[in-house]
Amino acid sequence: MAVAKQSTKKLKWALDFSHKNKQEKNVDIASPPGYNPSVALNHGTELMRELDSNHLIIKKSWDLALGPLKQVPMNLFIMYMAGNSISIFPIMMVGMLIMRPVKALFVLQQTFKVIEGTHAFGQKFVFFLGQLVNIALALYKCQSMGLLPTHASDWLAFVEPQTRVEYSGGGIIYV
Amino acid sequence: MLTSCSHEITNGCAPTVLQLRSRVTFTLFTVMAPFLPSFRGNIKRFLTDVQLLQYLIVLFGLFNLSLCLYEDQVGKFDWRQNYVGRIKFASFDTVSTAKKIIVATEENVVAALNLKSGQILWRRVFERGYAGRIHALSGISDGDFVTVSGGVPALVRAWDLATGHILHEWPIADQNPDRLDSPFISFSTEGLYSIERIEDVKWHIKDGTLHHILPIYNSGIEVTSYDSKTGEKLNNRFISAPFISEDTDCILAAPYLACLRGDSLAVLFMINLFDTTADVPSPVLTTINTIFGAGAEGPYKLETVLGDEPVVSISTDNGQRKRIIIAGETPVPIERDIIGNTSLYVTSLDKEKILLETTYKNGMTEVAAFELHTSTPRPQLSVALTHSSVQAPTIVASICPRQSKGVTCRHLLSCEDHVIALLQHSKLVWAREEALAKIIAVEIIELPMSEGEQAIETEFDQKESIDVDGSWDVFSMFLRRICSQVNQARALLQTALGREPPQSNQRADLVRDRFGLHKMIVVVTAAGKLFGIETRKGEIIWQLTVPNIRGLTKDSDKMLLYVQRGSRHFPHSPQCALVAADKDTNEGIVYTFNPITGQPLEGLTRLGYKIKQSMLLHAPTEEFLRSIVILDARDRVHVYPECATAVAASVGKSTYLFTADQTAGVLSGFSLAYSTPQNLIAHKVWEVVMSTKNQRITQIVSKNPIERVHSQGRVLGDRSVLYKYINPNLVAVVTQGVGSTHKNTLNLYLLDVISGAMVFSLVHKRARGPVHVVHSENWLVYSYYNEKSRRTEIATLELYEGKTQSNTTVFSSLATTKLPIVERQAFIFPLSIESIRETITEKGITSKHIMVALANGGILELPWMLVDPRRPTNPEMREEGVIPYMPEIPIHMDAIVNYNQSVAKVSGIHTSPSGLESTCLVFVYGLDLFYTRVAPSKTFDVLKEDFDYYLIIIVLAALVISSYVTKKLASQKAQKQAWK
Amino acid sequence: MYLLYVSACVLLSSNLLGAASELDYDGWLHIRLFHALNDDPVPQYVERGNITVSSVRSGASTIGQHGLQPSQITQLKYLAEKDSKYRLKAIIRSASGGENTFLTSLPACYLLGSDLEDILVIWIDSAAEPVAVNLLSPTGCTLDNPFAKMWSTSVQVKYPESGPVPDTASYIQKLEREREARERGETKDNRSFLAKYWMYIVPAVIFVVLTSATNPEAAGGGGGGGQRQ
Repeated sequence: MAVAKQSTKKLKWALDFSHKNKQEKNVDIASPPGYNPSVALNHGTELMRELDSNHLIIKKSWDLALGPLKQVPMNLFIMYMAGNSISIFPIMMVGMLIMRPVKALFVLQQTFKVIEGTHAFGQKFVFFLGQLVNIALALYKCQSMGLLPTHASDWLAFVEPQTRVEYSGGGIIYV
Repeated sequence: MLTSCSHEITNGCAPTVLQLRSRVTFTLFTVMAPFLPSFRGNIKRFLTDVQLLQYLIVLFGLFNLSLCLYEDQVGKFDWRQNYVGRIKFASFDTVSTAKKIIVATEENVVAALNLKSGQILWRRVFERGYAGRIHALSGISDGDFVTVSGGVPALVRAWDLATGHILHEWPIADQNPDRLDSPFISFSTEGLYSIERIEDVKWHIKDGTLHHILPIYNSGIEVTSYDSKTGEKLNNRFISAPFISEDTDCILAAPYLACLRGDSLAVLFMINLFDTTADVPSPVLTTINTIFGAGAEGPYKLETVLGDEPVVSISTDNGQRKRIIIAGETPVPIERDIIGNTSLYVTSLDKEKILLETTYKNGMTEVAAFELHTSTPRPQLSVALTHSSVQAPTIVASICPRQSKGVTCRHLLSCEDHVIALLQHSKLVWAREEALAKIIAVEIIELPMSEGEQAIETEFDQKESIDVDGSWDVFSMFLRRICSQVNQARALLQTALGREPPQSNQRADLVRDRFGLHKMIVVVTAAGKLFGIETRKGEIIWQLTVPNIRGLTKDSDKMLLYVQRGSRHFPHSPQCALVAADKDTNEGIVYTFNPITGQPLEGLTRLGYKIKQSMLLHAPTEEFLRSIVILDARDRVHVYPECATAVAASVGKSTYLFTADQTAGVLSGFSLAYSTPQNLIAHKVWEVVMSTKNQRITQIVSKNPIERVHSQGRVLGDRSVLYKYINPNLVAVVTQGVGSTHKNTLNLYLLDVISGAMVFSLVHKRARGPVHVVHSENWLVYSYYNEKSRRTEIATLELYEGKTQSNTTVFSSLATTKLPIVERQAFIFPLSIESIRETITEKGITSKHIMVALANGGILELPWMLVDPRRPTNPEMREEGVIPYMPEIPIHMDAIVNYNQSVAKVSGIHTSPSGLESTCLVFVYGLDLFYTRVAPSKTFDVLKEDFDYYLIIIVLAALVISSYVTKKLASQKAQKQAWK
Repeated sequence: MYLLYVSACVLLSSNLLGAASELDYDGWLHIRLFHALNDDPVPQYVERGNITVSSVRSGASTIGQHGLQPSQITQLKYLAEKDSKYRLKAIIRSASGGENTFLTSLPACYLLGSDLEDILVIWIDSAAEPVAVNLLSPTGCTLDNPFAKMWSTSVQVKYPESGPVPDTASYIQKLEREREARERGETKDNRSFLAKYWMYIVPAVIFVVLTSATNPEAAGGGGGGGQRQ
């Protein structure tokens, strides 16, 4: 960021322009009179800007990729606060903890579309891992709240009654 | 449906707590966020407090769990019928303005019946068994009367005629400390005499004086007179009568005692007991020849003729004929033969004595009247009656007052089948079915479907059979469908045109209802009479008298009722079988009938052998008929009906029968494994001996064969499962110690009757019966009397296989070698118990309650949870749904299902599942009948009765309409916006 | 070929420790065993051996049994194939002088499965009289030939456990404890509300004061919040 700030101070107008250019490519703004774009383009700044934006993209993508991992401490804190009792708020929190990473995984491609061009495989992988960590945490929470059917008692309702092999009858005699 | 009062409380509170808790957590969490670490502990503490509160609320809710009724529901789901029992003594009340009949019965009851309707005006129930047996009932004098009841000491009670309130009571023995000094009673003890001799004691109450007449063998008769009100001893006389011995047959025809001695050359002695003029009253002798003339043959039987005169009758020629003798200074034999089975009664008309001879032949009752001394017929007093409910009656009381219109005789009849009837002017005024006061066996049977549904059923039934055959044909199916629909349309048309469809012999309302709550109760009574009672109102639908039968055992009225085929096998009619013994030969009989209509099916079958034990075979025949396997006295096996032998033999390998001999203390198990399709063979596979030196088998309790257990285990606190030990072949054997050292021990054995393996045994020291046992699922609840603490206690045993199941699919007693874990606990029960039974439901999902009949007339619905042996004594060992241990079981008045409708002398409770999983039908029998239904887990499968259907419909409709309207409006608005 | 095999063993049944007091007397049992290997409703008993339980309380026993002859093993196999039962008759003479006959049976295949190893359980009542004899096999069912020709029997003696009694004493104790705890709790916790919860209130107040100082506009709301809790 610091680098980017410096460059914005130096070449304020150029940067503004390029940003606009970058984001709204299609918007065709008429050039000011007497302005020749080919003259105005400075080779050095071009390179620098190129470098800068690459750098920025990588930066941004890493930010994006590390986001889930940064959430972990917060999630841990929320989990701790929610307690293990089963009532509406802890359930909502746990639900959110699970749903958010799962949703994020589904929209992974869209999330990284923002970082155009670069495939950023590593970032995606880290992002993916981070979300998995979050899911694991949520599952752990579910487990500690006793929401996962991991005990024999959770399957008791499906145990069929034993069928009878022998039949008996009788009692105290009558004679 | 049934609504519980507590429902609102528990259900209302639980969500509140939930919300409260979460809200508190949330507020604390948001506001106190910066200081959370230090708060954590406090929140926790707070939460545990809330949790505790919740537990308390749950606990509180549990106590109120059982249903209770709203006032307007009284009598809606339940009914009660009161009975008095078979008449022993009866007397017309001619004194008071409200005319009534006072009866004393064999069920130890004294009651007043309304003369006009036969309704019970008041009823007093005496002690159970011998202690309450009524020996004498006095005549009515100025608004009260006296009864003598009980054994040692006998109790004399004076009763208020109008209200039935007790006026005086005094025991006979306590009033007479000097009796011990009496030189005449050499054999008497403190309690006067032994139980066997007590039958010889005669009582006579006349003019406010009670005479206690005790014949002493080879010596004489001791007559002690008391004032019947105060108990004051008036005098004591001894009358020498050395002819009385063990084989003299003595009867009282007050004021005379008549004794018959000798068999072939019998002599009748008559002695006036109350004649104070002669110092030593001497007996008057009459030889049998002076009565019958020559040629009469013994054995002779002496009987008192009831009524107003001292008259005795002697029957001869094997009870073929009899004659009467009028007792007096000189006995007057009447030389007229009376048919042997005639019952006699002497009534008085003005000053005249009239002999009433009642005969019963081919459904017709005839009462012939004769002048006593002259044998002149009195046709105007004779009556004849044909009525289905009067069978073989005897007159137990009769009055013939002269009124302005003439003489109106009223006869109170007691029939062979325990019916009490009042006859007036050859017209039956009323009749009471007193046989229902002594019910032996009960079954509750589902009603058949209505005819329309039956037609549909047949259609599907046939479809099924075709499916099995594999020749499934769309066209024939379609044809059948059309046929049945045409039939339905025709029936509809017929009813519309006002033409009645051909009536079947069953009533239209006797069909299965949607929830299977309307059923038929089939009862067998000690009189050998069967009844079909529908459950809705308690109306008697049919009755059947099976002639000449008796209970299977000598000393009890044990008869068995088996449901061979239920109502679900249309077009086969349901079938029940009564297994009893023949009165004359003692050999077994089987009587089959339709339990819905009361029609005999195959009628009475005499088996020709004595029945030792019997069981219902689990495998049905092709006609869906379950046969009865009978073991005879010589250990041979028979099947009824005999055509089912092949079916029985095919399942012989898995069929076992066990017997328990109380006198020898031997339990034996028989297997039918060696049976052939022609012949059933039982061979003994195990034998267990409960040595009669130490103990006597009192009870054997097996599980209800129709019971189903839904949950196979129990969830523990750590969320692991403790699997139940559900052995359907397990029986509980209760024995009571005998002999001086073991007298007060109570033993309980759990025995597998397939393998003969003992599973558990238990001994209670210083405890005695009566023991009531409920054996169900994997638990056993029993009550006994603790001699040491002098209180009734309830103990529970619960059997578990452990944390793993040895075999998850099948249960075989032969393969099970591991002994179960037995949990046990005992509780104090603050009331005395008459009978206990568990509730049963169709699928066994609903939790179990225990129906307890209390001695005070209440029927308590006790949640099993309260007698759970795993109720923790240590509060830290908390499990889900388990209440901490308390030694005493609280009795909540809400849990008394019969509210103020007390039932007396309960002898049994029968429970039956209904079509609703939540609901169980309960039928309590004894002296009274009571029927109700209970919902142990509340009616979770039915909407409440006050459910607001209209509100729901209106709200739903409004929502749908409004959503459509708003959708329309929204689209319009969007359109407008787009045009802008 | 008759083998005579004598073994002495002391077995403590599992419930022995808990319920020893329920047995009024110690006693001995002399058991004569007969078995039937014929596949017929009428059993033909032949002698199998005898067992002496010298003390029912400790369960110490001496076992002497005949081995099985090859023909008997064939019979046993035949029984197992026919899914029939091996029947055992035990005539027990007890210390009181009485003699009782008990009968027990086991599907023959279980004996083959356990290789002629069986458990004889003798149930006695509180007067040390036998009430039941059960023959159990520790393992499952097979139809294979047994390796052994000799019985290896273990004897267990079981006697009744004592019935439960209402536990009033511990309940009263529990009530006592609770009452004491309540009394103690009451004496400790009768300080005022402020005295008890000052450590929560003071930081809250400070927090409120701080926020209101930085943002005077929200002072009212913050103060209100502070009071609310």
